Amino acid sequence: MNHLSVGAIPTARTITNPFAKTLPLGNTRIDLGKKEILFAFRFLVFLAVTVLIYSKESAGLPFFSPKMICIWVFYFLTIAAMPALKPQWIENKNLITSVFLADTFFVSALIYLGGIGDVNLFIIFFTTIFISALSQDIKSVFATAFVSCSLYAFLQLKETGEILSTDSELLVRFPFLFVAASLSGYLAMETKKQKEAQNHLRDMNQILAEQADSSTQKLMETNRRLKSLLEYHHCVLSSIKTGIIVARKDGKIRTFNSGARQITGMVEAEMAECPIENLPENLRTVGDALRRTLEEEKSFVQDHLELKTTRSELIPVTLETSLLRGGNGEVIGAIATLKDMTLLRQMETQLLRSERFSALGEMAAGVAHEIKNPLNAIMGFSKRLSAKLEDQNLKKYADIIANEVVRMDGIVNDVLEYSRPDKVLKEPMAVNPILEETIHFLNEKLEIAGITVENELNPALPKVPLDIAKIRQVTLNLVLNAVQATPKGGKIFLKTRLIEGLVPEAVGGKSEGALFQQLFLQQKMVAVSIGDTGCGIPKENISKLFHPFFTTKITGTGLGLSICHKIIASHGGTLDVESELGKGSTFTFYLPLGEE
Amino acid sequence: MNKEIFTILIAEDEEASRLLYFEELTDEGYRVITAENGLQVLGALEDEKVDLLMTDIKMPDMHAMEMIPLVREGHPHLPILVASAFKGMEDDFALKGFNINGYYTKPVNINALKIAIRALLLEKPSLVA
Repeated sequence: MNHLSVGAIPTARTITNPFAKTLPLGNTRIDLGKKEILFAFRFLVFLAVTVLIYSKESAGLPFFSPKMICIWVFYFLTIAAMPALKPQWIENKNLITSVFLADTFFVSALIYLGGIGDVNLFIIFFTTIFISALSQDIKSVFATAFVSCSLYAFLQLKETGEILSTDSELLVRFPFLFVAASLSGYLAMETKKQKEAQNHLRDMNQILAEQADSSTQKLMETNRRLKSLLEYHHCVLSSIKTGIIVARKDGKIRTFNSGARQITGMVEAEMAECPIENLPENLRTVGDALRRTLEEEKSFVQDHLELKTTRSELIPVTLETSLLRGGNGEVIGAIATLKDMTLLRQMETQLLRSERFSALGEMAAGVAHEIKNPLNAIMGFSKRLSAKLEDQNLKKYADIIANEVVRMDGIVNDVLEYSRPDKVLKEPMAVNPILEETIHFLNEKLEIAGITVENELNPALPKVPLDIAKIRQVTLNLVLNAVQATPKGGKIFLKTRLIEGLVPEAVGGKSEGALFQQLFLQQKMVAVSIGDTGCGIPKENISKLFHPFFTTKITGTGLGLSICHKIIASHGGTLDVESELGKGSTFTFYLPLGEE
Repeated sequence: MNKEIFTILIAEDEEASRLLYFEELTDEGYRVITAENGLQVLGALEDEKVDLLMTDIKMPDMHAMEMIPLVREGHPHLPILVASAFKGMEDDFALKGFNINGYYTKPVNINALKIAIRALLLEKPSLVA
């Protein structure tokens, strides 16, 4: 690892590396230490030799003789130059070895020239050998030991005249010097090995620290990305209207999005980790489909399914399952999607109803026209009979015929009204006055029936483009129906309000293209509700309510509501009914405001 | 006022209705001639002096809308009453520029019809019959 990056260590350390603090402090410090020690030892030896020579009265050169001073100075300079040495030079074995050898020579030369051969010189040599151990190279130590031995022998020779003559001590000293050399050399080498190992360890630590540092950063970045990805997925899942339920391979629910909550009424927190087989009763079908998908590894589609919500409503749904595969294509779960088909089913029903209506209308119109001619003759002649007959009884019979023809004519007119092509002449009109007029018109009837009217008319309603005669016909019809359905003492409610944007409740009970138009244009609409506290409509009758000729009244033609429906549809609106048996019914029609 | 002066042409393909109008209007003192289809109407107008035409909307050979322009070619000022099939039909005729003097609906209110006819013949037109 590059030493220059040492400066970067502290940042790394602070984050990850617990070892970094215990590390030896950096290369430079160690080399300096070595240099300093070397410098100190050499200086010590220099001092020792100086003191030895100076303190001895000897036969050699005087202490301040030029030769001696030359060597002193030269020796001293080599020592004084030490601090200026570059650290890597200290590492250079050859250089260091030569320094040691030179030292040995200097010392020997000084001793020789100073004439102090009788001193226990080997101690000085020991010292040089130990110093040379600082090189941490056994070869260098041995070289120093060898040179020391040679010089020692030479000095002895000079002193005594023979090398191996009398002094047995000398014979012991030579191997002793080598033993010392080996020992110190060995120790030095071990130290060096240890230091190298330490250095290696430190380098490794540093690499690790840096790697750990960069991986921490990478991890944090990945974490951040993962978090935003998770958030994004969560948003997608919760924004989608389709219910999504995901089961893991172990059969436990993993995902239950808000779409599923809206359809089923169940809360995600209750569903999470719920085993498929423990799903609530109303989700049994979904659970079964998920289980089958996991077991058979196949997708399923179930159309025309009805789910019961927590509010016990039945919602038509389409259930689709698919396998959830992992990155390697292995099955890791199953996904069930639930689509709320309420709107679509309503649209289908509406469409079907309108188609049936128009076919029926055409046929009815044809029949009505044909009936008009015989009615014309029957009524005309019965009146003629009545005018000519003297017998009061016979006269009465003729009148009955004429009156019944009037009734028949009423029915036929309803049929024609229902079936004839619509001509709607729309003008912007306020809705509230139409309702007020209707109530005013029916005042007497209401009083007789003992029914009170409660108004909740929004005074801030904008004008709506409408055919006033036709809308009046609708309100009259609806209020009359309400009156007929309400017992004495009951109430009729009138309510108008402005609806902005698409309101689900506003989409029901609608026909033909207008429904689609309204769905996609999301127009503003005025809603007019006419409610009663009457008998209510049995559920099975609600779907038939707008069918032509459907009636529960003894004298009804069964066309009233059909005509209302048709009129509202021709305004691009919808007519809807809500009813509870025994509590009453509310009819609401929605009129679009159109372009403003 | 001598009603014998006025001749009314009734165009009606239904025998019963035709008879009804004939008897009622004859009782009123008018001279009544009848036609069963459009061609007979046009023929009668050629042969006779007619003061008022009362016609059904649809006859076997032609619709009133086809017949009336042909009638108007020779008799631009003849008062014409047409049986209206439904409310709003009057607008249709008016929109097409037909000069119709009145309408009646089926089943007809005989008394109202009589009043309308009389008013038309005395040039006091009333549109409702």
